[in-house]
Amino acid sequence: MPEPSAATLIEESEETSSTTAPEHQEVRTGRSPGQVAWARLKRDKVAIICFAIILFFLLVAIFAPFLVSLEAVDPITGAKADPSTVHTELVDFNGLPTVGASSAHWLGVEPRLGRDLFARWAYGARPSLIIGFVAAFASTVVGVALGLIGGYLGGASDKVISWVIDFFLSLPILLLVLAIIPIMQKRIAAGGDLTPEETSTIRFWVLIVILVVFGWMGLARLVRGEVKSLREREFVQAARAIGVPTRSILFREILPNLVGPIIVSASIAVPAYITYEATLSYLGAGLVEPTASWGRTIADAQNLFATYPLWLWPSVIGLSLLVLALSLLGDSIRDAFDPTSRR
Amino acid sequence: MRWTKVLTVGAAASLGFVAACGAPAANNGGAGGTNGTGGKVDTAGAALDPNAKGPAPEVPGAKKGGILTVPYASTPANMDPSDQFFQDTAVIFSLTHRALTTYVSRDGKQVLVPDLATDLGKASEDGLTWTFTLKDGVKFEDGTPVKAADIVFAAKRSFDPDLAANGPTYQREFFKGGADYQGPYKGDKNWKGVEAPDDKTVVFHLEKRFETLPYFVSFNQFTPIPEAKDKKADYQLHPLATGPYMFDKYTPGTELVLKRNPNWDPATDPARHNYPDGFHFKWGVDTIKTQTAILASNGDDATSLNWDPIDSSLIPQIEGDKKAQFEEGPSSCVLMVNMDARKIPLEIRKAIAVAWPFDSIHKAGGETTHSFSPASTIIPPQIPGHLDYTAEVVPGVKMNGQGDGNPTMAKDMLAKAGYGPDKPFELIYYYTNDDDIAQKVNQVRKQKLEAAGFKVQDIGVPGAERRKIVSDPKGKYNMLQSPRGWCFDWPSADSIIPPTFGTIALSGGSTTFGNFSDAKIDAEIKRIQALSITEQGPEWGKMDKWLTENYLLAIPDNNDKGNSVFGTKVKNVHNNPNKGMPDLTDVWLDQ
Repeated sequence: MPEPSAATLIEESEETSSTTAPEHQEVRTGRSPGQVAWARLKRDKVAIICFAIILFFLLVAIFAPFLVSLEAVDPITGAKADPSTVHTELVDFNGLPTVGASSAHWLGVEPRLGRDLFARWAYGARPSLIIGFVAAFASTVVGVALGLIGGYLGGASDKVISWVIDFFLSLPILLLVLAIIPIMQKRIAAGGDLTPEETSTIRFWVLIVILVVFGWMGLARLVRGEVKSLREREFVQAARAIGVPTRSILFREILPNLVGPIIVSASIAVPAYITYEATLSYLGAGLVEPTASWGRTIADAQNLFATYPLWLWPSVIGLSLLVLALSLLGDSIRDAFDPTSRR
Repeated sequence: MRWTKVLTVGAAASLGFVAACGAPAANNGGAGGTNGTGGKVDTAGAALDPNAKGPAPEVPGAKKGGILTVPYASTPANMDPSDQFFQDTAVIFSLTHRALTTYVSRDGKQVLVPDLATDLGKASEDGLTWTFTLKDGVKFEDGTPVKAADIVFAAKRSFDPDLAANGPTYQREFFKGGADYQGPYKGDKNWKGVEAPDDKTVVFHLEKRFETLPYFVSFNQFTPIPEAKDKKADYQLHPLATGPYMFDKYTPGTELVLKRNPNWDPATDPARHNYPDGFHFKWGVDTIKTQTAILASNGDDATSLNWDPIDSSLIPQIEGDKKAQFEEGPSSCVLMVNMDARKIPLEIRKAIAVAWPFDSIHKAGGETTHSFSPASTIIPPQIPGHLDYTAEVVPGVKMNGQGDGNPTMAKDMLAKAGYGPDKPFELIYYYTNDDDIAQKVNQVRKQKLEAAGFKVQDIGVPGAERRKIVSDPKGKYNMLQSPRGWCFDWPSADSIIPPTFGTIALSGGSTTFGNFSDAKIDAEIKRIQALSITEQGPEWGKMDKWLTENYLLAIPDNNDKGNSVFGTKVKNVHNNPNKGMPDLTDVWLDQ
């Protein structure tokens, strides 16, 4: 999981600042740091392209049913494609598809089962995006809250929180997750019997919970450090002296100064979580049949890559492109928020 | 016999094989296609030839020399002859170890012949005492002569709960006092179940009639072990050879190199040749890479052989210009679609048989046309007495393990039995949810059964747990309980039907085909078991047909196939239909 640290932020921005043109060419008044960042972001071509790519995948995920319905009726099965119905009549006895990419199956059909690959691909974007965004949001909330508390209160609560952060950071996450997911699934089922759909739903939420549980520490540590230094600054001291309640100091005085690092951290967390979901599904600890997921498709398709590459490519390209776009956008956002970087 | 090949895509786990007592069926090779021609299997059941004499007839054109390399996917846990009861180690032991009896391949048929013994054993009048006499001039690799006491010691050692933990269990069931015997170290050293009255005679005392004992004593559990040289758990590092080859270098878990045994006398051995100078077994290799290299046949790969199921990506090659480098044939496993006849009435069982999507399930399981042949019988074709019939579930619908089911007809049958959309018949089964292929197979099975008007409750559990749940006769399921299939231990139907059907098998606390208890079935099994071995065959065949036509406790699905892929210099590879593995004693290398 990424841990954007304050140190690297400054280092990089210093490099860029030396090469960029001096500011104050025009006189501008009364712009918040957010407005400055937004103006910069709009001028960043990479950011715009990345944003377009992300928007494209978001639209694919949201309108997956509509896109799939655009495919023609299959002449052999006489049915429209959907992501879960198997059509074994479309594969031969060795499991290879007898039909290629066509108007009925834009990306062909899945070997062995004959499910429509375009439908699996479009629907497969959904779990990646939902898990990525939901987990990033939740882990940001948790990280910020604990960082604020620890940094501002100091003393025993800071010690406890720091210890918990260090403890969680020291855990071998991947190993632990592989072990925890089946256990949690069993716990939730409470000895009952699960159908595949129930299993997949449970796995979906368990994944989010686990990503949050193991993903908040970086941000919490970052926020805690920032808060510790902000706490001693004059405006906070002043607010404290005139008796502003702690809650207001935290949310009114300190938090607005942290918007930059928080947004940066969140925007880098999204692609990391998407990769994690795909990795876990690939390893068999993530989502299960019949849910369509890119990670699962990649795991299934790799053995037949030599004979049937069309199975593997769409998911690999989709996943790589989405993660790359999100990461680059995160970088751009970081640059835009960094007061020392000049573009 | 247990099967250790990790087959193509774990169709084993997927289809839910569950090992059961004496002869667990635990694999399934990839599997495949029902393209109509796949159903033919050469009949190769074991006949008996008590008079076979060594040496084995020469293979025409065979040359001596060279080292045959055998890389394959699984890894034997050890090489202890008392413990190993797996197909792959049985093939290795066939090169190094001689038992009381053994099989030879004659015109594609497996014939049981005497090996260390002079004949196939003599039974007493009541069938409870068997006597085998040993040949003269048989020596261990170190030159000491083989004595009857060595075989008796090995037989006792096969009872040891630690040294022979994975071994067969027939000796417990049939040998006198075998049920709770703990072997020569933990139990009575002078146990009387097997005795050696002199250096040349081995006597087996039985609890009950065991007409197929001559087959049983062909296993490596009945190869001689000199008591003085037994190092217990370390004996596996260098078990003393009696066959044409002996251990040269053995690295447990990695590789085994065999060299010629100077003390093997071909004149005493009716079954084995020793054409190559040695063998090199490599374990735990990557199947796809190995098979690709062997088909390309460069350097050492030209003298290599692999017996893992052929990977589906290589099928175009072995069906095309590399056809000569591939051999397939039946194996000992038969697979069924099992149902709980106590919970599903006959009419519904027939509807399931009509609806069952054989082809779709094979495709989803990643099985290929080279890994199975569709079956219409319980007894596989290579067993003597096999009756080749195809039952009709309802007039016009043949039950031959082929096709994709007829959902419309199944719906009509359900409607006739009083079930419809408002009151569907519910099928409950467990599937493995930690195996990718199993999940996919389940998707197909569920959708196809639902299309035929059934309500399906598919319960996903991890593989290890599923094994336990489906072998409990009181389970919640109403179909697909254990066993998924059965691998016979010797080519006689008495190692297939009695352990899988009827009250006796069920009362042992394990599940059976149908989980069904019926006085008529029990009586028939008892009647046939009392016959002599030669009379039993055709009777089992008739019972097979009678069971399917009248009871339909399980739907015949397919017979598993064995595959061998070998380099261009490897000659005379033929499949042993009793094991689904190649007979390595007949292979020679063209240098």
